[in-house]
Amino acid sequence: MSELKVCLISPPTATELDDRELAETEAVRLIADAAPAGILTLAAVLEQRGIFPRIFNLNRLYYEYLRNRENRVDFCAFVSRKLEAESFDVFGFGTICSTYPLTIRIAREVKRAHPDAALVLGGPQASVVDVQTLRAFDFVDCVVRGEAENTFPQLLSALAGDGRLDPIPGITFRRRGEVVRNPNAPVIADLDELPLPAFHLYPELKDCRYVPLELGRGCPFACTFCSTNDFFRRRFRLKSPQRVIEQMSAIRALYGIAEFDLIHDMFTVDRKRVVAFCEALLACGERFVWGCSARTDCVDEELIALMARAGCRDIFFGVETGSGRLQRVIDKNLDLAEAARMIRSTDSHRIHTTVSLITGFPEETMEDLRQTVDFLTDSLRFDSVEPQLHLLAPLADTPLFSQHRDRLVLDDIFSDMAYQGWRQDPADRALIAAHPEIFPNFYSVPTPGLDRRHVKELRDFILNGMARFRWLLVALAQHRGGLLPVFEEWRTWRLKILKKDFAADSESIVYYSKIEFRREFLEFVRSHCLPTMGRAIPALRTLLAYEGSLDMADAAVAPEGLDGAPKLAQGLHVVELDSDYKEIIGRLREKESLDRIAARPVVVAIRKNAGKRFEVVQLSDLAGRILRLCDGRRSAAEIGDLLSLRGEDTAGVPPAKACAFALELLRQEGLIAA
Amino acid sequence: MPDQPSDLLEIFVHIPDDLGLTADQVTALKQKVTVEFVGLTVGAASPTQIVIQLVDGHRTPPGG
Repeated sequence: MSELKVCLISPPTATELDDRELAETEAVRLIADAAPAGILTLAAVLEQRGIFPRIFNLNRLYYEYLRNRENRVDFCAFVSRKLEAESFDVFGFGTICSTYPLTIRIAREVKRAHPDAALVLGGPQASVVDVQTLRAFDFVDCVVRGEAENTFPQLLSALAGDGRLDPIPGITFRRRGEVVRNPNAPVIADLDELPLPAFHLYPELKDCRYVPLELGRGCPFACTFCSTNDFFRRRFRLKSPQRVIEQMSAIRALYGIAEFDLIHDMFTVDRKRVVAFCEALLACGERFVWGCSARTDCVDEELIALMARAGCRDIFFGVETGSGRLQRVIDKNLDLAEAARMIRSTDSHRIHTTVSLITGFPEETMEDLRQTVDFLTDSLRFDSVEPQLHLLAPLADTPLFSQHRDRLVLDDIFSDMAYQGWRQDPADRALIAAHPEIFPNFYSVPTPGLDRRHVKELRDFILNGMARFRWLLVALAQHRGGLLPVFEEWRTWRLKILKKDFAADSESIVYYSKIEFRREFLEFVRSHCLPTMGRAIPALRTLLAYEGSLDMADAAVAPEGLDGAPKLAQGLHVVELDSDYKEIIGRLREKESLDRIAARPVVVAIRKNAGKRFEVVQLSDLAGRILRLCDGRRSAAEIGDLLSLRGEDTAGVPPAKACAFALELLRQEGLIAA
Repeated sequence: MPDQPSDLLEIFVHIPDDLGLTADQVTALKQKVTVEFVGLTVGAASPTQIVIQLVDGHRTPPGG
């Protein structure tokens, strides 16, 4: 068995972003560069048994391909050529639903080049469409279903030995042309037995900001749209705190990384164990930063506070829908008021909180959608909260899929669970069209209460809008009775004034991603909304001025200056506004009216913080005036003279001294450099 | 913070003692020169939010 040459190939997540600029963005790279934890854990298990697999990371290969595109070969052929140089006995592909067509195409090329090697698929997607895959694609020899750490080594033993696959639980294979599905394998009861993922096979780890590390497996809940249940058999398990911390310490010692994405579909099911983990972290003498997934009904304010103290900086809440009715229909059953309280709580601890929402359920009505959009809008009132709005995809082998499998529609309005980037690859689409039972996530289920194209455009509008003018959207939504009416108003205006509609979903997604949308939406607010805002006009005008200035803030570069002369700190952008911006934002946070915001000039400074977000501060009148004089050319003395000439009120302190004092305060605040 | 201290920084370093300000003057000036945190916001010209969403979506179910 030790002579078996094994190649493990991680599923792609960054491919199909055929726009080079898009693919190279930091946000995409952050995810694409993440270590493939599942494949590396499997590799570590194999190493324990004397098999030393080669790892191929399709994300890495994709970037290599993208940067050498002059050769113009197809990516699948490119991967195949990369693998040609070595001979392997077994190829093991990890799979996920969104790139399953691509994985299948690559597997076909690989099998063509290595006809004698065994081609094995594993991972979440192949596990649930195993029989269909083997029936449709004769180049696939076997599927390892569910957790592979025990099953895959058994399969390799059989392949290296007598070749008998019948006794191996958890695999589906072909025997004399017939597809055979062996019984499920038991899940791994004690996850502490698993070794540290073979990060040494992933040299790029040294360039990563964070490391994905498994906390445990199995979510005991049974939401109708989720495919997790089957893969981990709904068996909730956690590694012991000691084991996880030992692995975190080892990774820090080996690679110098102390930030972790702690992977578990539902970490917080067992409160006592979350407390034990946090207390162990606090007692371990090392400081780690981490993120996890949770349900809002499986945390409380006290627990959130403890998690924050123990280094939790990221949390993922799947809220799914803002409609109480749909919560019951999809078997999620969250109390939405409680969810809102937990979101407020994580925000209060500055935990970056993802609030994931889904639209496009078959039972969803416009009223349900309105409630979901309202929930999303309320989430926007918290700085640390990042809402997501996904279009439902019927994932294979879910209750939702089973209920609607005969009514799937390929309407080319794709969920983000179905493709990446802006266009569907034609070769992928041909596969998808031919095999709905294998690629159902690219299809939609009928939504009699919703127009999916309309909903998809709403999604593009909201996601890009909140990225570009978050508080403006909140203000408009508050004034217009919700974000949904704002979208309808905008859409009507766009059709009437700009005479712009989209022939296809792909046109909409590109339009909303571009700066053109920002410009046109701000014009819509200025010319259409502003005159109708009544007593809220000053507030909205101030928000517009602020948003308009952000284009410059993005590109702000500190001016060249003279040595020793105070100048604005690198990346700082200063804007003068007509009303109290802090007061406006404060009212929006608390859902208070924007009426009668007093007109008074204020200076606001915007700078990027360490987390690459913009931090906004409002300056007092004197601080603002001094900051405006810091052009990198005037000396501190000259600024003092100007203050004196202008008769500024310096609280009875001589202007030169007041200026020097103020400059020091502003420097301490990080607003000026000298 | 620049690598090399400048003349101006020399002045900064000695504030407030070298300026000869009284405690009352310091208090009065601090009230006149304030910097209040308003909040965090996102950048305006990020053309790829949609992709961020796409990629982040993969944190949800492993089927994704």
